[in-house]
Parts: sequence; structure tokens; C-alpha cells
Amino acid sequence: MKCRARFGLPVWLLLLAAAAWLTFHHLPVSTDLSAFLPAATQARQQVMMDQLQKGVASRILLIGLTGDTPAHLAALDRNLAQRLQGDARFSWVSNGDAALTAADRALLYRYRYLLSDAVGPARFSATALRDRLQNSLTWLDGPDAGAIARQLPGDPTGELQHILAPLQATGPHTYDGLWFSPDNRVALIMAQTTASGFDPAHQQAAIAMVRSALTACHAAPQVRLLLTGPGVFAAQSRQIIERESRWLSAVTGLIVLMILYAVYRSPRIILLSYLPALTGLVAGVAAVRLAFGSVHGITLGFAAILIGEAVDYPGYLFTHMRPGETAGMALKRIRPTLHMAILTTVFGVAAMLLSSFTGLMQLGLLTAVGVLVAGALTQAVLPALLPSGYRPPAPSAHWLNWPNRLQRLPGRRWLAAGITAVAAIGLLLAPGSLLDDDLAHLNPLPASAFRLDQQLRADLRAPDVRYLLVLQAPTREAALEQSEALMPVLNAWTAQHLISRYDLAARWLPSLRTQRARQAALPDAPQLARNLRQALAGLPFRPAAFQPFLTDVEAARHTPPLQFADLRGTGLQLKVQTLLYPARQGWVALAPLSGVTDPARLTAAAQRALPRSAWLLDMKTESTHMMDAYLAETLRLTGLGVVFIGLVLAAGLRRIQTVAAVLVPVLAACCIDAVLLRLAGERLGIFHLIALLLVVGVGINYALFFNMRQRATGHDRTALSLAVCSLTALAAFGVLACSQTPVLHAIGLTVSLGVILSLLLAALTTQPPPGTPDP
Amino acid sequence: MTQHGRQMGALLALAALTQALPAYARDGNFTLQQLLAGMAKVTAVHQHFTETKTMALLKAPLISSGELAYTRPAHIEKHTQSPADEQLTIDGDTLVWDNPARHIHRSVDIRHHPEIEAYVAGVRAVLAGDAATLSRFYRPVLTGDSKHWQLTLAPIANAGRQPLNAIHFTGSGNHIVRFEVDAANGDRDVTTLDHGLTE
Repeated sequence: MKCRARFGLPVWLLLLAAAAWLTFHHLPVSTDLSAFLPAATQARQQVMMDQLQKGVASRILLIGLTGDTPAHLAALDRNLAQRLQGDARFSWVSNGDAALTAADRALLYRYRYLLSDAVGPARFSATALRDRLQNSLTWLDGPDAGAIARQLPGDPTGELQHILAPLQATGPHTYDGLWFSPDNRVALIMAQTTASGFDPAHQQAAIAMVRSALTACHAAPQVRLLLTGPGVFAAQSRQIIERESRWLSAVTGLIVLMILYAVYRSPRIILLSYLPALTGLVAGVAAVRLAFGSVHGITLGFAAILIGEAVDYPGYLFTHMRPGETAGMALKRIRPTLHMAILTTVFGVAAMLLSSFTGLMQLGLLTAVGVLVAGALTQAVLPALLPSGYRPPAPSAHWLNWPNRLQRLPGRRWLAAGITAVAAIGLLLAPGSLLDDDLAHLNPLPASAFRLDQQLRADLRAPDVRYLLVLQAPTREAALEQSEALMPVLNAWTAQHLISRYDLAARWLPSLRTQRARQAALPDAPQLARNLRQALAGLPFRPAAFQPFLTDVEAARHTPPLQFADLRGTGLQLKVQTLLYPARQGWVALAPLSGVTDPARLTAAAQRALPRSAWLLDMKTESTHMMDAYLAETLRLTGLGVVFIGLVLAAGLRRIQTVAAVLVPVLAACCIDAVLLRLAGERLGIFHLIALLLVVGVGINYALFFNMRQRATGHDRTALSLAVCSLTALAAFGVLACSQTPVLHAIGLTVSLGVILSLLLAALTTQPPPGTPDP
Repeated sequence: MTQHGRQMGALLALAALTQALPAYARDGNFTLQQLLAGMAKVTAVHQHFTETKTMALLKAPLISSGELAYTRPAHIEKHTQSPADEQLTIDGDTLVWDNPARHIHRSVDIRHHPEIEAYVAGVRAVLAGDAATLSRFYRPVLTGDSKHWQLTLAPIANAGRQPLNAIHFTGSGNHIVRFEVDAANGDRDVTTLDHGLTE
């Protein structure tokens, strides 16, 4: 033992130094939530994940101003929007003042004869022109006269109006020309960030910009700023995760410290108790960094778990020492059980390494490495560092001796079996699905954030993309041509009220083929002049006034078609980019469908009308499917973890009865745990399942030590040992249960319940040690 | 849309026509405040109008005539009788345009049309004597004396983005005799008002 310790110390110091360097030397901490989103395997899932992370909807920032009179809010709104419009962090900002920028309008106007799907040979005949002009004339004495007088000379056929019509179909409520909530209490601004909605660092910068711009506007003190949108969620999540992983670790550490002081009353022993856990943590983070390049914030939050879990190992050692015994002697006694305890935990969490979630893989690796290192350290280094005259706490009179008393309860096995049976029946009969498949529940934000989001979205009629028509084609041109072929279908759906509107890149950037066809349909200059002359005969218009029309049509016949590059610097560039983008194979064109009232009818219509290269994507259903698949995977992994644990136990214990005695109470505890969670209103998600696996790992330690005691003689210290260990674990995971981050909350609640239940059931079901009278 | 404001503006004239306030007859500095205070006392007016629209687009001006009526605080009616029968009504935020011969019946919420909203708000502010609202949309400049004054409203660049240069009122006491809207493209809309029909 001495020799092992002599070796152990320098090896440990070296390892610690290397791991510490890896951990503390510019550790890249990622907060990108997509690490906890499942990885996509199918093309349609890829489209969905792309949309979730980078799509139109994901980059929208909704800004609300409230708390003042509508007139004051309107002035503030204009001022703020103007400041944001010039900022590079936003690709466009709109407050309803003009949904399209002047540059957008100018571009659309310039290319109106190539963009309008009304352009055809009949559009410019003498008869058609005369009809339009005569009609326009009658409007010249109406309220629209000014606008019509401005438009007619250059665009008598009204192409720009025709192009813009789909945009103007339904707009939000306005006050003083600006978007307001219908009750005029909230002034609304919609902005699109240049950064992805899942990029919390850049989202945070954009939000900071909004706040500082508002300050620069000298807003009245009572004005409140409302911010929402996926980007805001991402930034808030990041803040919550950062804050929580910091204070959770601190609180956990403090509570565990207090428990340890109450038990050991020795600062040095407490320090030694932390040593393996801290080393394990540093080694775990280093391993994750080596394997993944960066560490996720949520993975770091797992530090809280590690502290509670790995503090157990020195605890087992210290509490099992008898008076006068050296640490080495005690270690010799408990070593086989300790090994088993460490290995079951390592194998239990190793199942997480097989997960498809990067975040879960990191958690698995960090925990496995941390536990392994902490266990090794407890055996190789701790005995050498223990003071020679150390006197362990006396067990018999100790307030932590409750498991012993429990073991003397009459009829305790029947009690355990009864509770388990009730739980099992409850689990089987529980109404509704036990499992939670909503991707949104992975989000750490409170429900109030989502309510605000829904409210502002409804007020602004902002795209809340759920239904998308997805189209795949080998090239951009092919995608545009196929999109154009789909337009009659989409128009029919609009007419049938299956959808209220749709958008399509081809609307703003028609295919070259279509643009050329439109050019070919435009009459040449002499012909158009003749048609116009005929059309104007007898009308009170001054023929010379229409010169801009003649010039523009002639120019449109010869202009190079509108290309993607021409959109640069306009809001249309972004629009087209988000609706048409290169995928892994070829190009993807999207048509977001708004106002879907009857999804079943829409799905049926889509099945009838769509070609093979296009499909209807329901983001909600698709994400539910993905979640289902990953829940199934996690269930398999959990099962596999239990099998691993069983194999480790079988290899170590060699007797099937002993394996059963160790495993059954723990599995029963998990069962009761699940029922209690259900009763508490939790729906079991992936993280609950993973947490149950941790319960198995931790709970098995308890059962192992209870069983070890059966073979031991003399003083019984196991009850004390397990009470201390479960209390520290309970503290660590109980604090985690208070977290607002669903991942941490789920794990914390499940494990803290599971730990107590495991200890209870293990105490109730195992034989009391020989020599202890059964009353 | 703004063109609509021209008709609205004509109503101002009506409002002013019926009552000449002795207070304004006093010489000295005739202020906007005094003018608006006088306007605020007009409760209802009803007048003949003649409107002449001169547009670059048309060979000859469009001339129309009919009756205008205003009732405090926010009701305006323009009944065109020549060349065709047409009714334009603004009540609160709703504008209704009726032309039975052409089967036109349109109702719009003026708050959805910034150009016209800014315009109507300005006109109503003059009629109501509400200087605060007026100065939200326009920079008013008053010249002349109470017997013969000119009020020019220049739009505040940021507020309405109306493509009009200015609105000129000519009046006497608290009645308006002539009213002209100058559009940015050079088009002009002149409305003259005769005596009130009723009070």
C-alpha cells in the first residue's frame, strides 16, 4: 500500500497539472443550444434543423415599446428603428413605416416588367392599355388620386402594385403609420438579425445594441422594452446556463462542505474529501476538450453532479475506518466493493457516449472520466495523505445512523415489495404518454417568456413558421423553375383557403427562363407607342406624360435579367437567401405557408398535387418524430447501461442471488422514482431517462455496501457511511433540481429522489449484519 | 391618398366661413393661437365648394363642385354633385367613399394610410384649434392680419412622408375662402368656398 501511494502521488500531480492546463488554458466554452438538439439524419430533418437554427423565423427579433401614450411611443419607435436600421447586426428593421426599404422598392420598380407574373403579350395591347387607363382616370378624383398620379406615367399597367400585392394582403394594426398592438399600448418593431438565432453570443450583442439605442433615444423612464424571438431566447438561455452553472456549483459545494464538517469535524479531512472530486472534474473537462475541442456550458453544469458523486469515494474510505486502523487497512476491506461501485457508475454513464446528442456525449465522457479518476485517486493517493493519528467519527451514537434503525423495522421486506408493486401498477396504468417528445421543452426559459413571444407574434402577424413547402433541385435555376411550376398549386390552395398566403424565392427572383419569356412578351418601341396612341385616343390624358412608360418598357426588353447578385444590399437579398439556399446535395427552395387552418386537408392536397421533388414539412410533427426516435434511442441506451452494470456485477459478485439483491432494490427505486415524477406533473424526457441511469449507478453503490456488510464482522460502519454519502448526493442533486434549465432540473429531481429511494429500499431489503440482533 | 386631404382641407374653409369673430377684428399681431381659438368655436358648417385639380398627367384640369359639411369634433362630409354624384365621409378614423354610378363603395381605416392619416389629423387639429396635434405633422406659418390671413402648413419631413410641398389656406376671421394643396410633383389642387348654406 505504501508503495502504491508513493507512486500515486507524483503520477497524480503530473496528471493534475496536464489536465489543469487543458482545462484552464483558454477553455472554449460553447453555449450553442444546438449541441442539445438531436443531429439530423434525413434530408427533411436537415431542412428542419437548418430552419430552426438559421431560418427566417429563427432570426427574427421582436421589439415592443410600452408604458407611455401611443403618440410618445410612436415617436420613440421611429427614433429607435432609425438607429437600428443603420446597424450591421441587423439585416433589416421594420416598424411598419415602410415594410420595404426605398432600395427594395427601387429595385422592384426597375425590374417590374421581369418580376410581374402578369406580364404577357395581351398586357400591352391597345385594348388592354385603354381599359387600364380609363379605369385609372376614374380613380383620379378619388382619395387615391395623388398616388395614382405619381404612378401612372411610368407604370400605367400597375406592375409594381401587382408585385407588392401579396405583401400587403394582411398587415398588423397600425397607429400613426406604425405597427402597434390592437389596443395601441405596445409599439412594435420587427428586426432580423444577421447572426443565427442559435448563436447566443451574437444575439446578445444584437440585444445589447437595442438597449443602448433605446438609451440613446432618451426614452421616458416609465417606458418598458419588450424583447422576444428565438435569438432572445438563445441569449437568455445562455445567461441562465452561465449563471446557473456558476451558482449551482457554488451552492452545492457549500452544502456538501457543511455536511462533511458535521460528520468529520476536520478541515483536513474535508479538504481530502474534495481532492478526488476536483481532480476528477479537471480530468473530465480535459478529456471532453481533447475529444470535442470545446466544452458545453450545460456539461460544465454537470460539475455539480460530479462533486456530489465523487465525494462519495473518500467518504466510503473515511467512514469505514475503525478506530486505530490505518486508511490502508480499511481500504483493503472495502476495495472490491469500491471497485464495483466505481465501475458500475462508469459503465452506467458510458451508455451516454453512444448518444446522438453532442451534449449528452460530453456529459457521459466527463462523468465517466471524472468518476474513474476520482476513484483511482481515492485508492492510490488518499491513504498517504491522511494524518497518521486520524480518528474516524463514532458510528453508534451518530445522528446519521438511521439506515440501521430502518433495517430493524418489522415486516420491512413486505413494505418494500408493497411500495414497489403500487409504483409498478401506477406506472402501467398512468394515463397519457409518460414520455415527453416536445423539442421546445429542452429550452431553459420560463413560460412567461413564451407567452410574451406569442403575444407579440400575434400582434405583428410575424412568421411563426410551422408549415413549409420544401423543394429540392440540382441547381439554383432548376429550383427556381420548379418553384414557378408550383405557383399555380399554391395559388389554388390560397383560393381554396387552405392557406392564407405563401412566399417563394421565385417571386422575387424569377428563373432566367421566365424572365426571358417576359422580355419576349414585351412589344417593341414602335409597337408600344402605336398601342398607347390608340389607347389614349379620346382620353383626357396628355400623351407626352407617358414617356417614362415607353422608355422603361424598351429598357426592360434589353436589360440583362435580374440575378441574385443584383439583390445585394437590399432586403430582398435576405428574403431570397433564406428561401433558396444550397444544401448538401443541390439546392433547397422553401415556401413558408401561413394561415393553415386544416392541416389534414392541406396534407391531402399536398399528396395529390406535389411532384416527387417537393414535400410538405410540418416542423412540429417532424420535430416530434425526431424526438420520438431519440427517446427510443435513449431508452435503448438506458437499457444497455443497465445491462453493462449487470455484467460488471456478475463479474464481481459471481453469485446470481447477490447480483439480484444489489440490482432489484435499485430498479424498484427507479420505478417508484418515475411514478413520483409523474405525480409531480413531470413528463419524462431524455434527460429524466439519463438521470435514472445515474440513479442506477449511484444506488447500486449503496446496495453493494449494504451487501458487503453481510460478510464483514465486528463494528458496523456502513450505515453511517451510506447516510453520509446519500446526504451529500442528495444535497448536490437537490440543488440541481432547483435549476431553471430543464436538463439540470430533470436530472437533479430524478436523481435526488432516486438516491433517497435507493437507500431506503436497499436498507429495507438487505439482511442486517450478523451479530446485530433482529428485534 | 394625400389627394384626399385636399377635399378635407376644403372643409376647413367651411368651418371658417360661418362665424367671424369680433375678437379677431382687433389689429396688431394676429397669432396662430388666436386663429385656432376662433376655429375651435365653430361647431358645424355647410358650404358650396369648387375644386380645380391641375395635373401634369391631364390635358385639362379636373373641375368638380358640390357641398361640404363639417360637424365637431370629427365628422366630415363631401358631397360632389358635378360632374358626377359622389359621397366622401370621414367619421373618426373611418373614411367611406361612395360612388353608386361606378359601383364604388370603399371603407378604409385612415390609420392604415399614413399619408392621409397625417393629413386628416392636421386638418382636424386646425378645425379643433388643437395646436399640439397640428405641430406634430406640420410647421404652421401664419401671415397677414385677422381680416386677411394666410396659413401655410409645411409637412415635418419625418412625420407623414407626404409627397406634398405645402398646404396654403387663405381666410378672413375664422372662415377660409381658398385652399390650395401643392404636390411635390407640381400638381395643384385649388378649392374655393362660397357662403355657408346653413349653420
